[in-house]
Amino acid sequence: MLRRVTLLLIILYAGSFSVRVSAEEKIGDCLACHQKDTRGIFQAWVNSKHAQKGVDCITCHKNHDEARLKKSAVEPEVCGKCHKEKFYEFHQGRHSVTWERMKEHGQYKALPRSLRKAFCERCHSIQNKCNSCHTSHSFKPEEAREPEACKKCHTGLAGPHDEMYASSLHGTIYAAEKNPVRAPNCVTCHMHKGNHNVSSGIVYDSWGDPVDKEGRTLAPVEQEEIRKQMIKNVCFQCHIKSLTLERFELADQVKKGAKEVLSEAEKVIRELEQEGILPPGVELGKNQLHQETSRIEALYYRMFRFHNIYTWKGAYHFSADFAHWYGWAHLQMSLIEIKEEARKLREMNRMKK
Amino acid sequence: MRCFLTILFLFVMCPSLIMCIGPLKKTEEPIDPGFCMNCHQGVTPGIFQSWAESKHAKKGVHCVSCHVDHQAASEQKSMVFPEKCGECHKKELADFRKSRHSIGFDRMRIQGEYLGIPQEIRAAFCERCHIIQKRCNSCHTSHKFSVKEARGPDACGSCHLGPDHPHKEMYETSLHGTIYKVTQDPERAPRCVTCHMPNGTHDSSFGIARGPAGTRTEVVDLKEVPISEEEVAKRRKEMIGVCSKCHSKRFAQEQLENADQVKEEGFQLLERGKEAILEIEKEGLIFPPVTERMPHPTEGRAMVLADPQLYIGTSHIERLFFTMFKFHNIRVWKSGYHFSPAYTHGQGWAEMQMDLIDIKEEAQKLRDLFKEMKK
Repeated sequence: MLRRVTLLLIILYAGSFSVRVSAEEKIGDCLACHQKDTRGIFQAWVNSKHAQKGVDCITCHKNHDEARLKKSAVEPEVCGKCHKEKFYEFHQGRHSVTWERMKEHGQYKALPRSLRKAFCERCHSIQNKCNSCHTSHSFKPEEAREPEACKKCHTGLAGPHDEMYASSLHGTIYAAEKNPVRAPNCVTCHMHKGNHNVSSGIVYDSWGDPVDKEGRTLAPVEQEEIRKQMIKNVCFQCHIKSLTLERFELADQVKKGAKEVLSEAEKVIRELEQEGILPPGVELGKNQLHQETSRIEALYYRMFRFHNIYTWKGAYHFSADFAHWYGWAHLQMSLIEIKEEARKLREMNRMKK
Repeated sequence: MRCFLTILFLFVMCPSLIMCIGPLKKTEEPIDPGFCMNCHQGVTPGIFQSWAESKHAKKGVHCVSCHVDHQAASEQKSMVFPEKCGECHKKELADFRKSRHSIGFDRMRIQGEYLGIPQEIRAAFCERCHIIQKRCNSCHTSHKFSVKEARGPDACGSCHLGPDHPHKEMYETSLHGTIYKVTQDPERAPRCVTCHMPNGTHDSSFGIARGPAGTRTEVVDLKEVPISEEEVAKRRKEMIGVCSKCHSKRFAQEQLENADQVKEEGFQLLERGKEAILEIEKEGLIFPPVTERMPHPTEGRAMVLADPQLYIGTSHIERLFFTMFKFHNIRVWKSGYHFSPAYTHGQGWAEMQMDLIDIKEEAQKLRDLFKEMKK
């Protein structure tokens, strides 16, 4: 406690002399109110490495007016002034394009503004804020390294990475021991040795296509190189080569299998479109919306968006439960339902005539 | 720490000494652990580190004690079978062999659902858990083989979870699981092993009077022979022995008997779903008809309702029943015994009732739409 108070006094003292740009840019001015008004973030900052190193409110927020204008948001560019290497790496990965991709997507555009904010934007804002993972105002690397940091976005129906990991043997051992030497956590594989390019070692995008963050299709040689890097850097810490390769090839097979089931379902729906039972211009897959379509399309949406993802991503995360029961079994059951729905639609169409 | 450093020093030095003395040892002679460490410290540091921290390392059980030699290890993809562990852990192996864990792989291989999955992807699904028959390190994970880890609910939770048998989720939503989560004290509330592996028995089927696999009503032994009423009563009594550490025998008995009732009700509801589908079959409205489908891998050209029903290539009405029996009925009765009202009621009973509504509605639609066509 005494240390904290001393530290605070030093900062207050230093602040009042050294950082003098305009009257309201003194750290003391901020703390005079914010110590009381927002004491949660004040306390978190006091305990942070930033405070120890003299990085204070105005270092990042500049001045009161500017901070207010931006609702106190601090963009990665500001953090990048000091954390140059991390900032560079961040820009190599998909996290740095999430906001733009979201804004282009039809589903985002189709949502009412208030819903967009409560839904998509909460996670996709990671493009614009380092404090998605290093939360304010303690910005701890230790916190950001834990699976919980990734979980708040990578969870739930559209991307249950956390659930897949937690139900894998990797996740089980990590939960029991909290020791990344015994079993990997998210960052062991996806941010190897602190690399902020979260896409390193990943061949596919969220839709399962082998493309880079700009959308360019990766050549088979490039895909192989990416996988090789992942295996060499991470898997070989514990596993032998033959077994590791076998596991990845198995996951490739699972992904291929899921795609075949999807194609079969798509064929059923396309036939209905050709027969004029569904109106022309049916959108399936990547750009499909979850609203105002026919029921059979909604069945496909679930298949593509949820069950397909569980199957193949579950396989690469070595969660048998996700790959099989939440994924493959549900893909098959949805296919049954789609076929039955098509049969009924045809019959109803015939009766109408 | 000092002990660890000594071991580390020995392993680093041994290979260099061997290199000085003469050529590498042939496989017939016992391999010095230093020979393995020479490379594996560098190429697989994760497992080396785990082993160095293990009780095995302290007691001098090293690579070749289990993996025999490099060639044997390569051929088996480094797998070590329970028989090997049993050379030292005799009682554990004997107990394990009494449990259903010890037939997990064999039973899987003759299951219709397994055979209905394309061969090239089976290893990513069923085999990952059912392999427990062949590996002690499903629970005591490599290369630390920690007893403490294996006793935690997480160790069981990597297989016993998910739609078809959410034991982990049921336990976590019970009062037992809640108290254990808060206190991490198995004296305050039981965790999985308290009831299913009491006093460290490796017969994980201890005290289980219902089963197997949760989809059949009869109770059978490891050879699939129904067990006697006396044996069922004996197992129940053994389990109540565990409960009575905290609860009165009468209370425990009452709770388990109530769960018996819940199970009975669940299976009766299942029968109503079955009846509705059998009527539709009688009326010739099942599509695709059994004769036009891929034959069932074990039952041939027959309509299979409940175990070993497939989730692939059936009619939609059968698929509705699949969810009812495989996911929801199991939640009803297993949660009854695991004391999770959220699972037994909300995720189980209510879902079953809604499945029944769906099945009846589907039956009606099939009649309305296709009965005329049949004529």
